[in-house]
Amino acid sequence: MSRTAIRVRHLSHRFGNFDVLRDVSFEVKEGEIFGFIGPNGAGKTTTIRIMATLLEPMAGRVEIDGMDVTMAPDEVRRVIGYMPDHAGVYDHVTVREYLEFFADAFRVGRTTVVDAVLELTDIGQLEDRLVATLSKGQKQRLQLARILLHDPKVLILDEPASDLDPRARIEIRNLLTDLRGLGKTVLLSSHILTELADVCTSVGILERGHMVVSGPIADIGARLSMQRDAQALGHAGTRPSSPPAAIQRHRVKLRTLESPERAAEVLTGAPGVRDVQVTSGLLIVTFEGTEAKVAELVALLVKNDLGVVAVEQERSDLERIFLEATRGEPQ
Amino acid sequence: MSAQTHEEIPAAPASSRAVDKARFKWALFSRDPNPIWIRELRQSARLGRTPIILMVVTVVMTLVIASLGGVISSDQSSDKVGVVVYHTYFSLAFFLVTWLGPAVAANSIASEREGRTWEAVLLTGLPPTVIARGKFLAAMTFISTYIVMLAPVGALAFLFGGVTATEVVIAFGYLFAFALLFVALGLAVSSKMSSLRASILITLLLCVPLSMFCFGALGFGLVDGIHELWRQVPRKLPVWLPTAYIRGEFGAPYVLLLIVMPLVVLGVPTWFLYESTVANLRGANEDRSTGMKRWFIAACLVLGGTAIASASIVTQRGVEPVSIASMVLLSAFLGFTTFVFAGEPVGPSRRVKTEWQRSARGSIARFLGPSAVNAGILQLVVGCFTITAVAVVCTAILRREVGLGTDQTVEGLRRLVAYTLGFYVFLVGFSTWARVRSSTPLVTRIILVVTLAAIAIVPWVIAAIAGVFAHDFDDGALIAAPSPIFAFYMYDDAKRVNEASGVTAGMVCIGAWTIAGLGLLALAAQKSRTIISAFDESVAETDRRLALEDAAQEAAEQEAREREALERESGVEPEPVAQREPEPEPEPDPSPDGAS
Repeated sequence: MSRTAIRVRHLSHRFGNFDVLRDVSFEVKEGEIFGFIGPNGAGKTTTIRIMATLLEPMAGRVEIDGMDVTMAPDEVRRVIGYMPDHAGVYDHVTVREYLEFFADAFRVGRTTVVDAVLELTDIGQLEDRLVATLSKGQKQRLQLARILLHDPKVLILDEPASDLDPRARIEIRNLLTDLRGLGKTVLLSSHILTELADVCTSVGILERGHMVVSGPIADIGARLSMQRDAQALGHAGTRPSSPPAAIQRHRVKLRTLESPERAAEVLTGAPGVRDVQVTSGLLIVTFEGTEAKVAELVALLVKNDLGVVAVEQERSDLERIFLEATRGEPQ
Repeated sequence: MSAQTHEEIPAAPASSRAVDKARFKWALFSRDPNPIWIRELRQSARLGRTPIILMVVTVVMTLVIASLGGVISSDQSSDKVGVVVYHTYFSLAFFLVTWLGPAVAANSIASEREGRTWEAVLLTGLPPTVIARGKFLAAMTFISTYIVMLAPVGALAFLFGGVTATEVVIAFGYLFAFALLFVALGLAVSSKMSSLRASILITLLLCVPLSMFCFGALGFGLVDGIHELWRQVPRKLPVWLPTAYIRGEFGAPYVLLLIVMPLVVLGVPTWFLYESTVANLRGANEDRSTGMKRWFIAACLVLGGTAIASASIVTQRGVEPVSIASMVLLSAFLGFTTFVFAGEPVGPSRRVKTEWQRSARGSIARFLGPSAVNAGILQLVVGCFTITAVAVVCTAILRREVGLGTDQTVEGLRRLVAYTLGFYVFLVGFSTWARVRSSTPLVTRIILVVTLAAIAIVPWVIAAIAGVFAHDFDDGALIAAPSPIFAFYMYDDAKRVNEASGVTAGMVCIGAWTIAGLGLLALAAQKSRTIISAFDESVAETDRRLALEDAAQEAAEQEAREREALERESGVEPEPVAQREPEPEPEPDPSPDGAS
């Protein structure tokens, strides 16, 4: 069982008479990429700033790697790498000088670290260029390089892909996946749900200072599905407040070589399959179970002489979750 | 190894000898300098405008001095030209340093905040003291570049004659010393501001009049008095201080005026501004108080000592005015510090308490930590001790030195001191009480300003409106007794042949202010205890609830594990167990540091 990297418990905060955060609780396990979603003004940045020790919570507790951000901010700062929304850079230094400054400030003590992060973030070829001449995407990579200098366990990124062009977004996304591969826990906030869906292992949706729902995307999807079913039967609340359901419902898109209609006939009624639809030559299969079930479905089609040429997990899960979980009221 | 200098950093001094320690410190400074300083230097070095501005300033200064020298040399002797060039050059350089230096410093921290690079620096874990020193060094280096660039122009005066090389060198030393003070001021303003323009504007609004005041009061204001003391120092020329080191006669006045006073006048405010900067760079729940309280204690002792030394060395006629001036300046200083400490938090935050526990801080260190009531007690003890000590010594000197009218003067001084002490006790008590009652330091300071202005002015206005001054000034003064300005009336009254009844009213007011001050301090202490205990209870309650939740979650997990094991043994597929719903959290409570 993996350890908890970030633990937020009953977090509340207020600016003047306005409650920015109200009893927010969630956890992020080690090695996860956690997507922090919410409309503007929902309290994402306040939560992130509290996690980054820049703001003291008025109530509740936030622990990073088991350390309380209020009681041990210096220790927490050593294990986090925080990239703020629209963070600035020093324009009149070179990329290498910029990183060397932060390496000294972090007391890293080894110059090879700068070379390592330059290589990791793929900006080694820019090391002698002035920061002012970098593109937005390159500056974001530089920021990522900066927060990696002291080898933090937890990366907290506030809107890392905002204002970036599609190529830079893809590059940042790939970099985050690489970082996860290195064992880093990543918490990132974003408005772009499809982008989060591609990289996140779990999400938390914040609305009007409340954590509406949090957990692995598949769990939340299943939970909302149960909620929907229960509502249809007339005995459910309006919010997905229940814990993760035992049965997880997923949707997958399949493209076959031969007739999709025949493939639909084969899959309909198969164990775990709840619904099969054919749209524009694609099979959209709703099923219950884990990813192993997808392999079973593919095997079933192949066994019936139906060649499978593409399998794609439905990407709009997160968008659907977001729309179902939030009320869409003005913030 | 330092990444910026690529130098190996020595781990420790070679031995415990002082020489090795000094070598080690130098090695640290040269191989691993302040990272902020190095980065700022690299940035400044790449700015294209820096050499252009330097060149323009140098050329303009050279032209001004050369023109002036050319015009004057037509009908004046060479040494007189040298003197005029010397005073003109260093006067202009003084304003350049005191305007440009703080403007550069004002740019430093505010520009990081505005450029959104500040948080990245803060999260590196660099202590605020290192950040403040790095910024300070960077601004000083910048302004030093100007001074060095202009140095050859300043040396022209020496070539003409009339001033010695040593006087020129000392004058440059003073330029650096004033740069320290004004750069510290710019940095302190910058540390408080998040807008670059506002930071520069406020800094210049403060520095321009302050530099003019310094130049006027310390230059033209003192030169004639210094000329009376040391005839070699020329009259009516503002840059007298560097020349006095060469032309003054060594003795007690020399030590006091040329060594002690400059150190006090430049050192005490520079230290205060440094502590302000560091405090502003710390978070609201960090210890912002200890440094400031240390400065307060040291400043009181230094100022008190300087006042006593001044009274001790002046001539017979000068004892009384020096005593009164010392008392007024000390009162003004203590009044100012009351406003400074009006920003104290009600009590230490959880973070500060944890730090105290970790580092096993003693009772004195904790007393100097964040606490409005402790700040009040400290002010009362140290402030009252300083005033009393100065008063006692001045009275003793007066009794020894002065003949005719000694008793009246001593009595007047006693009354002045008594009123000062009584009103100071009230001021401290009231500011502490206002702080624990109000939500922010700004509110406390506004209340303090309004109250102080009302107490000082309103009684005199009432007396004037009632028209009592027209009939009998002493009757009018009776109404004005609650005003602290009344202390001067009481002082003056002691010298009269027929004492007025205002003294009794003044004494009543002294007692009333003292009792009110102590009462308000007691009330503040009580309120502070209530707030802190409420906060501690709220924290304990939160901890208790979280511990209960943890226990419940652990029990649920244990139960799930046991059931899973049981079902596995019986061959049944285990069912996942639902996570328990967390209990709701109480509404947030105010923290003792007043942050909420």
